[in-house]
Amino acid sequence: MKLLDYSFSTTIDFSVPVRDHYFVLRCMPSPSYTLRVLESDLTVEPEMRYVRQTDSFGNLVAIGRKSEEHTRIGYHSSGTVRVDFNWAQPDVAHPVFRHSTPLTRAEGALATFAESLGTVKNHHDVREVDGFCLHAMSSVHDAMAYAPGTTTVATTASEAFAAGRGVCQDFSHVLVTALRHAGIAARYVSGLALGEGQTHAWVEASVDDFWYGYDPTRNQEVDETYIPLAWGRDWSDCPVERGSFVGLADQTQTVHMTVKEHAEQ
Amino acid sequence: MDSSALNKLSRLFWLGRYVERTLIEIDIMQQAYDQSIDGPAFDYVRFCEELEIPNVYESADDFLEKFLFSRKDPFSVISNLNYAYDNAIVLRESISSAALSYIQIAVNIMEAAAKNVAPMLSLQSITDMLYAFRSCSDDSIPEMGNRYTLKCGYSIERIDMYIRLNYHLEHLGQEFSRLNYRMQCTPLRRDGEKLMLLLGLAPNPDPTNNRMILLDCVEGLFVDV
Amino acid sequence: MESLVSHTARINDQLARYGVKFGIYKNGVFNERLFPFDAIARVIPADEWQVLERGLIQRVDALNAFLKDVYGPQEIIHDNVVPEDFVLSSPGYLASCIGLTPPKGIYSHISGIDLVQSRDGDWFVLEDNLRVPSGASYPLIARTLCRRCSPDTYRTNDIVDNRGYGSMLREVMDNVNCGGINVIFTPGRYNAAYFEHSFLAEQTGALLAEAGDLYVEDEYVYYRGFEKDQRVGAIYRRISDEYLDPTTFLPESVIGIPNLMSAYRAGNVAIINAPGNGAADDKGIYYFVPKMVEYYLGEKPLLQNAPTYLPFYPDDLSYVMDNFERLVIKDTAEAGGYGVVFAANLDDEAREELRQKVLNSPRRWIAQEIIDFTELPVHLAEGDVPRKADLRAFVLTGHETKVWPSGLTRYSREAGNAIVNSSQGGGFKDTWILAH
Repeated sequence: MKLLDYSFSTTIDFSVPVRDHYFVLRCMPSPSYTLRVLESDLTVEPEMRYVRQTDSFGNLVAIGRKSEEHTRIGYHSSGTVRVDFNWAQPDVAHPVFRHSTPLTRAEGALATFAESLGTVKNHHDVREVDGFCLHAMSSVHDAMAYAPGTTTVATTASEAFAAGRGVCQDFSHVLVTALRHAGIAARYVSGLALGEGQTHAWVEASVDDFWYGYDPTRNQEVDETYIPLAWGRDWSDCPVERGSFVGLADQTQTVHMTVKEHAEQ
Repeated sequence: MDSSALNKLSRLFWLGRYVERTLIEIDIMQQAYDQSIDGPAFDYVRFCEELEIPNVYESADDFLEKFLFSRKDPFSVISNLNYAYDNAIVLRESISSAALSYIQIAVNIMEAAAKNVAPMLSLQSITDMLYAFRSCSDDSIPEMGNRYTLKCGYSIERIDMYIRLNYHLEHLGQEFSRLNYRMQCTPLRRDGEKLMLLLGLAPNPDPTNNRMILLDCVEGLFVDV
Repeated sequence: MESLVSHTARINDQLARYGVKFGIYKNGVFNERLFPFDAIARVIPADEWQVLERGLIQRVDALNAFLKDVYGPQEIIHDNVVPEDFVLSSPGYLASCIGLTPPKGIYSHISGIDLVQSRDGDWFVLEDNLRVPSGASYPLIARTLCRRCSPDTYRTNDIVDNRGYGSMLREVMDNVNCGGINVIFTPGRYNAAYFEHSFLAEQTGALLAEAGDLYVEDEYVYYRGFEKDQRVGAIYRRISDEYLDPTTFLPESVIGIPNLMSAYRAGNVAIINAPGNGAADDKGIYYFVPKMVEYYLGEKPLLQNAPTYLPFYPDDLSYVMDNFERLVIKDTAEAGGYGVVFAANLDDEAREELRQKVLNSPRRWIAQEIIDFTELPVHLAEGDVPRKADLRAFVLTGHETKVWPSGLTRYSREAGNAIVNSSQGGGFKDTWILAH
């Protein structure tokens, strides 16, 4: 069991004023069997109204609108969660997680790679499936170099794999693609990991109806220090911020987050 | 329906202006045409100056042809009628298909007339259709605010053209009082200062000396459009 | 009917008067074209229509049940009636609609079912259109004008009146309205079907709205009035799913309503037709519709599909390969008459290329037997000529499912051409349903 304090801020600066700004934020931890939210706070600046909803993937979203002109929007999400893998319960994966998406199609070198990983004989054999996922994770980690700035949010798994580099998003897309290719339901997770800096992304695979987490960027199994913010088929289902506004502005985004173990008082 | 969107009101207003402008210009062109048969040539240079449109015409005959029918000339009668159509086509459910059809017919006749050797007869039919539009829309627009916004368009354009062209000045006072009534019935907001000035000048507008100020007040009376 | 046909030119004049047009883009330029009307109506006898009507209601009820199922429990997949792959990898299947039930559980409120009749008189369904089917306005206005031109025709023939489409549509909107006004949401006047959008707004009393006229606040949709804003309870949208809400679907859409999906998710607005319907009118899913009728309704399907093969199934693939040049090959990724190829019309090289494409990605293609469908007479100055024609029937689902007693009969421009889509340049006819 881990008790974690998280804090996550994003600021978007616009080069010229924008108005009629509608946004959808996925920046709050969504409760699950293994994660309980003890405290959660979201503030948006400039002050504006928003509502909370849960999307089709079970992600907590904040949805709002700022109609007046502004040159900056910032939001700050913080709180405390308790993560305990002993609480895990069977959770049948929606079949949509078995299918490829435009960002996660096995093409070219990635198709060959996915093929080379072999197949799973018995999808109910936890050891076999987990072993396959771990092997796939390490293989992705070995095949790709961590290189910020070389890819964008629109880079597909196959493109990143062919280039042999990318960031956590690309590593995760590649792993998701490879797992689905082997018939394993897999989902992309955007979230926060212990430490400070940027948001992180990893992969969860459905292993005999339990979700197991794999972090191909760090080449490690996901432990109780990871806090999921959003699940989806790929990145496009989980952006921390999606907006639509009126105004021809350039945007500069600044993100900062910290996760640390809660100091018992 | 209680309240139309601003863009709808704006289109109604401009529909009114372009319909009225087309009517007045056809009336003037009919006179000019008649005059060209045996009278002195139509003073199109002055006409362009008064209307503040570029004089791109080579002769009185060239003017008669192009000012009526040139689609490339953004100030021509056919262009004005097409602007009326552009506004009307997006107002179908507000003005009714029946009223819209008169604008459509006017456009169809205008297009045919442009290819015709004796276009004057067609111009009369266009006038008929535009007047049919005016009475049909008066009947078929149920919301008072919408109906009067359209009518404010007619009035503003008429006053504007009368002043610019020194035309039918004897009707100016009557048109002012029409506008005065119509603007009480549209949700469009008015510029208070311009309204006061206009009301002050209305009894004796004297367009020769007050041209600039009158045009400024008329054009800028409604702040939303 | 002869007296009516003699008025063809005058009826077309009337259509021009009412601006009955559709827009097309050619070489990047928007043009509006009159939709040529042929006065010789398609006539469907009462007994034939009764069968069609029952079959159409059955089909649309099954399609609605299918949509509710695939965005919900997916029983039809678990029961191995429809392969998972055909549903979940369809581009029309929207993950953001999973678990979301539209008001009153209705997904397809307005369904356009395209049918053809073979020379033997049998009807076949060619396509289901459950997203934004268009075309009802054309026969609707044509009927009104034809009645003016030739009253006798309608006095002596016992033709069911079709002019109630506006009130049927209104009932459909009112039925799912979540509180507030009805609006028809158009991408604007440069859309191919703008005439229809504005005409249907007039016919139903709904407000015609464009992007910018509507906004979402706190999970409610409002129409931006000049003096006050009004809550919107139902949106008959005439734009496709991907442009509907830029914060959920295509971010670059400027013709949508940002955050619309949040109001929809909260159950505060009905979207007509529901987003995500593309999962059921995919050319690949079409194959399974008769099976859906049996699965959901426990009935025998009254309407048949054109004989269709799915290369996805090995048996079908080998049949398709063996009979390639006899078949129509359809690309499930294309719509609107595009991506339909008569293999016989290709030269050897092109045919071989297409055959390889089908072999390489069998899931993407379907193959159909060519139906030698009836030709209807079309009146031209030089005399009547036969043209291939189809029928789009409009099925409306309000508190119950009803078929509009008429339909859009489209005919091809050229003799022999079997593609009748209006974007490919053909004309239309009225469709008469006889009362007795």
